[in-house]
Amino acid sequence: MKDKYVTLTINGRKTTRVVEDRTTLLTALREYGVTSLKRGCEEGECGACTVIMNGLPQKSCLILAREAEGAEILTVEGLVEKGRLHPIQQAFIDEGAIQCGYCTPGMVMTTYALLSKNPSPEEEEIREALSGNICRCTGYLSIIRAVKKSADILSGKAKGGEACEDY
Amino acid sequence: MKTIKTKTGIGKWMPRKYDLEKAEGTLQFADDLRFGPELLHAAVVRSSVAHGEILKIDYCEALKMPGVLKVIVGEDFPHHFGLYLKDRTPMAIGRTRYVGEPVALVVAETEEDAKEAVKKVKVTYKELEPVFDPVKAATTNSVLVHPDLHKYEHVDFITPQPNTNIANWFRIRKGDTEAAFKNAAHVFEETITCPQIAHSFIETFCSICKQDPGSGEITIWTSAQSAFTVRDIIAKGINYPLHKIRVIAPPIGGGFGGKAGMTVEALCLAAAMDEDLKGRPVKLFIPREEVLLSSWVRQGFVARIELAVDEDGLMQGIRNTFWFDTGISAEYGANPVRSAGYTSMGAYNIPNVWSDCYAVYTNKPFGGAYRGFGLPELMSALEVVVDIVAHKLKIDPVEFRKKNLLMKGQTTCTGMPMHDHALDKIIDKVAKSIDVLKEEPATRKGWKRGKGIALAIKAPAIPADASSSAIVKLNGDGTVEVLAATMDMGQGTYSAFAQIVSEELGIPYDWIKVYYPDTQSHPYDWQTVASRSCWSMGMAVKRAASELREKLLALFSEYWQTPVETISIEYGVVKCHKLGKSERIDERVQNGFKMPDGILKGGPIIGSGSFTPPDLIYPDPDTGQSPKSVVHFTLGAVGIDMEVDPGTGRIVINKVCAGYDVGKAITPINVKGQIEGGTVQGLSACLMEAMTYDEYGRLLTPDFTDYKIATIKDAPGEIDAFWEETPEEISPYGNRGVGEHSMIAPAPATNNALFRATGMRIHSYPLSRERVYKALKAKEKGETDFWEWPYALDLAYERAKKEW
Amino acid sequence: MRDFVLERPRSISEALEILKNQGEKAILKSGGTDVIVWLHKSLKEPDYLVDLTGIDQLRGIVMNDDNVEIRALVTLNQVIEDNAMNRYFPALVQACKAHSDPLIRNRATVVGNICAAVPSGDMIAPLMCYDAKVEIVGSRGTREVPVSDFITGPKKTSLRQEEIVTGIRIAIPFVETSGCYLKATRREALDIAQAAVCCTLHKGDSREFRIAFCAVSPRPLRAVEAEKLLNSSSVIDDSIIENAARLAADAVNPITDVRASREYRIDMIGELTKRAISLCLRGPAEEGGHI
Repeated sequence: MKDKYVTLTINGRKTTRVVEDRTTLLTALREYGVTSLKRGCEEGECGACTVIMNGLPQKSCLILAREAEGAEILTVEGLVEKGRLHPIQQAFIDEGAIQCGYCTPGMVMTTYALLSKNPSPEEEEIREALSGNICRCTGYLSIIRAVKKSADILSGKAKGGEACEDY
Repeated sequence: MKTIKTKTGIGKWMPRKYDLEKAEGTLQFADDLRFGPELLHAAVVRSSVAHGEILKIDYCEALKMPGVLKVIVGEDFPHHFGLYLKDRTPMAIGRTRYVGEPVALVVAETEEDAKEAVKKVKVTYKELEPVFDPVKAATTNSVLVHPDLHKYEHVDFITPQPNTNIANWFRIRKGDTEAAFKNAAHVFEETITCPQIAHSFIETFCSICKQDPGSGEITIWTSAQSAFTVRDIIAKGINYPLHKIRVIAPPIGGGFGGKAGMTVEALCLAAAMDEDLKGRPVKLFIPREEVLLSSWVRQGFVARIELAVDEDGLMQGIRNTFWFDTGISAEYGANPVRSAGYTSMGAYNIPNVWSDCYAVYTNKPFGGAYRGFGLPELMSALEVVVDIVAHKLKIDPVEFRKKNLLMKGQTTCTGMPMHDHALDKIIDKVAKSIDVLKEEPATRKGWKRGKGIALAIKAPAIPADASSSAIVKLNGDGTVEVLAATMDMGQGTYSAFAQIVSEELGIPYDWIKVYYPDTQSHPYDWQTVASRSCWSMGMAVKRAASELREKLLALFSEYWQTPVETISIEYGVVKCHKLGKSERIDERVQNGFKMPDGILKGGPIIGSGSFTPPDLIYPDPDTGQSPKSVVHFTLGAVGIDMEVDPGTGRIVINKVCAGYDVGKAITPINVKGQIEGGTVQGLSACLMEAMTYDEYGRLLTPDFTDYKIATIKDAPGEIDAFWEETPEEISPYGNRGVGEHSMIAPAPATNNALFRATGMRIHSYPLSRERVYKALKAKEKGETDFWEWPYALDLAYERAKKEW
Repeated sequence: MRDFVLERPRSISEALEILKNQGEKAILKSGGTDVIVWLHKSLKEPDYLVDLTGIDQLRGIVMNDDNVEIRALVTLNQVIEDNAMNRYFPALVQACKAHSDPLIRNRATVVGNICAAVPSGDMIAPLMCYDAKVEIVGSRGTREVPVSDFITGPKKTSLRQEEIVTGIRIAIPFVETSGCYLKATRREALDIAQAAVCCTLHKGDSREFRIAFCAVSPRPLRAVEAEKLLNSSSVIDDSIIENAARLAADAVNPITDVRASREYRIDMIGELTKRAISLCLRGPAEEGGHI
């Protein structure tokens, strides 16, 4: 029976949700409507449930909702500001780094966390940072290009919105 | 004067349709759809034995669990389903055939309630002897997986063999192989094995079904590649009229063939159509650890290939025997067997071909559509055998392939003449890109480095009448909506369709919207498989857009009183330069133009188009011969530069070069994405993927903890992807498919590179670290070839392959 | 998963009270990266789950004069980012990096890994090499147990029902050390060890090698014979390393499962031991991790 509560600040909005003790953070957020987070495996292997919780990227399927009491949660829905995409989201589109889109929210959030800490990562660092996010469609190289482009847009070296033409 | 001007037509690099919503996270997949509190949830009770009679299903305890409404068993929904062969029931009826087969369905108010109640269902079995090895299953009939095989309905191009475990037997008999082998200067025989592998899409299966109690009409929301196929298969299975079944296909999170056809919809329907439950929507979400147990995987195979080569190094004859392990169902799995069969000459000109391709039943999860559809299997074997032969004949691998290459006019194994293609050019480019003949030292200390190439070939594996149709609607402001029931699962077809419409209509790309499939609104399309959509549905979309254009121009022609040839559509604006006219498209295309005679005419304007391959002829069932067995071939080549650490067996790919002749790249960003994605998927299969069982037939690799696929750190350092464009005759713009082809050659190319690096030939995939290590240790003892097939443990492998 | 009552105590004493009252019906959790997966797969079905992440007393890496305490809630990333950890215990840092991926490492804890006591737990071998002590608090008081004695078998520890591990204490070495952790896996990232070797080298007058393993024995294991050989040799040449590696391989007793066969694991122990010894000799802190 659901008779427990958790208060979270989700993408800037504070809300109290009704949950069970066994409800994971992933399930609680999805039930609230944050469906960018996906149920890819629910065993911590795929990263499609990645959120930023209190500033750190986490796999929300491995966290109980009530453990996150009082936490600030950031997901891709929270990156869009007044209809404008975040540079990372834009870079993923520009570089063709999105195919089915199921891993994309997780990839974007992990990238967000990476670039917040390391604004100009080397390729090795990018691969290491994203090693817990699985993609089956793209083969990853376009994602690496997107992360590099994100870094360039954020540092002013490049402009977003230009489709890559690299063939 | 050009009638259509656009900046966003075919061939341009465009940001893809729906990428925005995917980046935002707002695109709704099946699991994201919201229904009210009346939504019920189903969870599956699964068999714990590989082969057995179901004596009793005791669900009394389960019914007492909180939230549980009903438990449904096989006998409650005794319908047979199947695309090519109706050998499948959603739940086992009377007999279970693999560990994990659904035997009952628990329906409850919440997902957790259903899952907890599953634990309380007790099933008793009388165990029967199972068979796991496809060769044993095919060559001895002591254990029959489907004793009733003769009773199952099937299409006429599939040939099940009653009283055996052979669900399909595809034959090629071309020329005189007996003579070819007798007279050949060199004869070779090799065997290659590969286990079942899984698609591992990141989105699992999810279906929601609802039946209206009064009208009986069914609505299905489901993660499917082919909405109309789901409808057709279900209609035939439960004997229902098509107009009473609506299938809505939300975007899917990866398919790769695993969501083609009908997967878990019938199982969900068993609950939704239940007497006590109907009226309420029922959701069946398949968690990751049950995916491989719920629908098909890629068939495993054992391949024996014999090659006859003459003095000049030209292939004179080939004998293929392929046993495809299709698990307990060949409803879809019957066809990759065919697909491999009618391409069993590979990319070579071989005058005498004898092929036997068998779909074999075993007591394991079942096989079906997987990217490449028989060709990764065929070529993972054939391209290794070709490499072995080249090495033994002391001809370099590039030259041996090129001199035997199937060129325009020469016949395939079905007797069909090959069309023009640029494969020889592609081979040269690939060879040059990785400098395949140059031995270079390893970049990692103590490692060994090698380079290898392999070829790719595939035709769309479709029935002769696989059709597409599309509707294009012009809105009252010049924007356009396209109804084409192709599933854009990330390959980007909606972007291609939008570019095609833009090309034909002169409307800017951003004004064009393409909708995800809904059988209620969309016209029929056969399936989103076979790399056919950009070609087949592309043709339908082109015809629909062209028809719409003609109607629009005809109206303006009458409206402006000027011949149609003087009117153009430029960047969304209709113009007549001769008369100095220029008008935007507005509501008149909906409500009519006021013509010079004062009468309102025209509007609404809809274009429709359809396409069926015009000249396919099914291969003869006894000989496999046909003058046009397939619509066309896409060919390509892959080169691998890799290094191996002999101390551990670890392989790292330095560089891949991959090129394909796509005819015409409608949406270049899509083509590049498919080449890169399929290459990594192919490498992942080669290096680490295998469905592994214990001696009881229990799958030891059901989830991501133990079924490992490539992470970003496993992706190669560089993929040099390119394409050639030799136009295809019957095609909207000369284009052919490329979605599957990049999956075909990475594995054999890596195997060939490993041989060049170490002198050891591994005949069994995957080339896992442990296997490579073991093989290299065997090399130290003087071995040159290594096999490791789990089911041939009690036979010396050399002897085994001769007996087969 | 089966429902349970989640307890989130705010202090160690509150946690101990819950354990005393619920006994066998309760299990503990720190980061949860193992426990939540077990619950999801119904491998464990407790009535009570005692989540320790609300207890501030259990946070922090504490530097004392001659030892460091890694408290129960310290995550693997916190270890990786800590200067003292990198300086004094490089093999532990490498093991943390090799454990999984940066996301899981924001949650997984060193103590949790030891308490799960899965034989492939990456923390086990480095803590064996560093002679770590497990700090335990119970209703009957506190005690300290060496890691080698704490883990008694696969998924079994000597932790009593009413006890909590509050941290791991490791003596600070007063000589220069090098160390590395080499892990054999099926792919380049995020995998459970098939076999792993941890090697530390305390330099100085009495040079000391320590070698321990993961995933190849039911209980934590140090390569005693290999260590003896290395530590009694004045010069370590290739043949000594070969022999040490062989002694290491002889010491292990792995199983065959879907991840690797027993034979491959034994061979990898030999191979990785060789490499680990060489890396340590080159050290101070050479990069190890996935091999």
